[in-house]
Amino acid sequence: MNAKIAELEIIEPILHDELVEQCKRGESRAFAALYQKYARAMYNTSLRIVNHTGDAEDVIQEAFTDAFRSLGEFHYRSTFGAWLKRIVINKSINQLRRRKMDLIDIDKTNIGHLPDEDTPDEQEMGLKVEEIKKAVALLPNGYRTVLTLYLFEGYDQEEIAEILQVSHATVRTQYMRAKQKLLQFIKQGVS
Amino acid sequence: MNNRLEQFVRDHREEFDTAEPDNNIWEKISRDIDPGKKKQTSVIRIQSRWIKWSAAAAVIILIGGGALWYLKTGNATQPIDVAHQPARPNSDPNSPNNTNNPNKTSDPNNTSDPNNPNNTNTNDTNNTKGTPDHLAQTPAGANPSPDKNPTLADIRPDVNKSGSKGSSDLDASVNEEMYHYARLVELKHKELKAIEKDEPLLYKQFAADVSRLDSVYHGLQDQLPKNPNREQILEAMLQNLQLQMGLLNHQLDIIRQINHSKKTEYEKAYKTS
Repeated sequence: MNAKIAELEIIEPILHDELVEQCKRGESRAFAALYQKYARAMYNTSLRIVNHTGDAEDVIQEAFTDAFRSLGEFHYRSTFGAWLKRIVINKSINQLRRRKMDLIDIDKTNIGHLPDEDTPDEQEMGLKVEEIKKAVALLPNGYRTVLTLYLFEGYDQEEIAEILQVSHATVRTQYMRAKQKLLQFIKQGVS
Repeated sequence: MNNRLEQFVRDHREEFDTAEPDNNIWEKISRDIDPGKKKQTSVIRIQSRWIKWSAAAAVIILIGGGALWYLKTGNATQPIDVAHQPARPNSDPNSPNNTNNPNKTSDPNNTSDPNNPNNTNTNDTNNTKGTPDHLAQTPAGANPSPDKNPTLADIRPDVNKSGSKGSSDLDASVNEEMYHYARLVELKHKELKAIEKDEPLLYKQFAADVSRLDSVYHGLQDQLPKNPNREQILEAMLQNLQLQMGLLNHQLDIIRQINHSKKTEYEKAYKTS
């Protein structure tokens, strides 16, 4: 596993570089290859945030177009994937905001007042991918965004705070509550 | 709180990305970035992005054109001046070259002439200088220095020719100012040229705007030897240089803004895990 990760770290950026470089030179086949490579991951990332297939498709169309047009501004400070993902996430969050949905749900649901015994014990739960996916989709927008960025996209809480322009403490409590709610949904057998 | 959920998601991460995007998305993207259309779309994008600034540049050009038109029609409505001057013999020992050049002399009818334009001239330049750009951004190299540059070479000899007794004061001051501005314009040109690599389209657009003004300038320069109304032409040339200067300043501001926004965008973008 470790060896695999190390290998990925070494090989991936080089591969990316080649495709990205071809795109920078304007080779249209490279654009298609780059799209094929990332489209699904980016689409799922966006879909988890905006929770709407049409919106997610709009987001990735815009994100890829923007990314391809501004390739000249990409200088490998991160991988191309991380750069692209950040564009997708920003656009997804904007899409949510455009729908006038509040991204911070603290105290807007009664989840803050849940008694402790209601908190499901993760250890005893049988977790299934499909159940988790459905439960995530049921979360309110703010919770879902924070939880998704942390759980699926691998951002740490400080990065999420920066992306959402909220405090670190807010992210932490939001995440805890979101996770609590998610486990509750799973336990209730949302399926 | 324990981390079983996190661990589970990490272990099954791939399985969560099962949704497939619609096939026609790529077609839309490729249409947007299609190399054949790329040029067009990026031009349009730049235009819409900087439309505000283009508008500012257009206003400057309009004002310049308006001033030129005004001066030209002004010439036509002042037949007395024109009638006086062509008859004057060339009596200037300092300018052996300008035999075709009708000169101002110390004719009492005309003595008021050099003064009036002189006054309005200094007023004009004061006004223009009042805008912070011109003075604040004057670089150290603005002092006349023996720099061999085409623009300077174009200007200096012409202005030197203009030295005639009646209007030598005016000419000298105009000369100096013209030189000053030409020098500034050149420096700005060089600064602008630096973006050619990064923003070729934008540079092209900017250069086109500037060269439009510049061609007007050269038109004026061509008229200078033939036209009896030296002051007005010189003044127009000076104004033209000031306009070029203002335009270049605007353009450099735009570039500074672009660079700034690029930088912040980039910093935002790459700060991911």
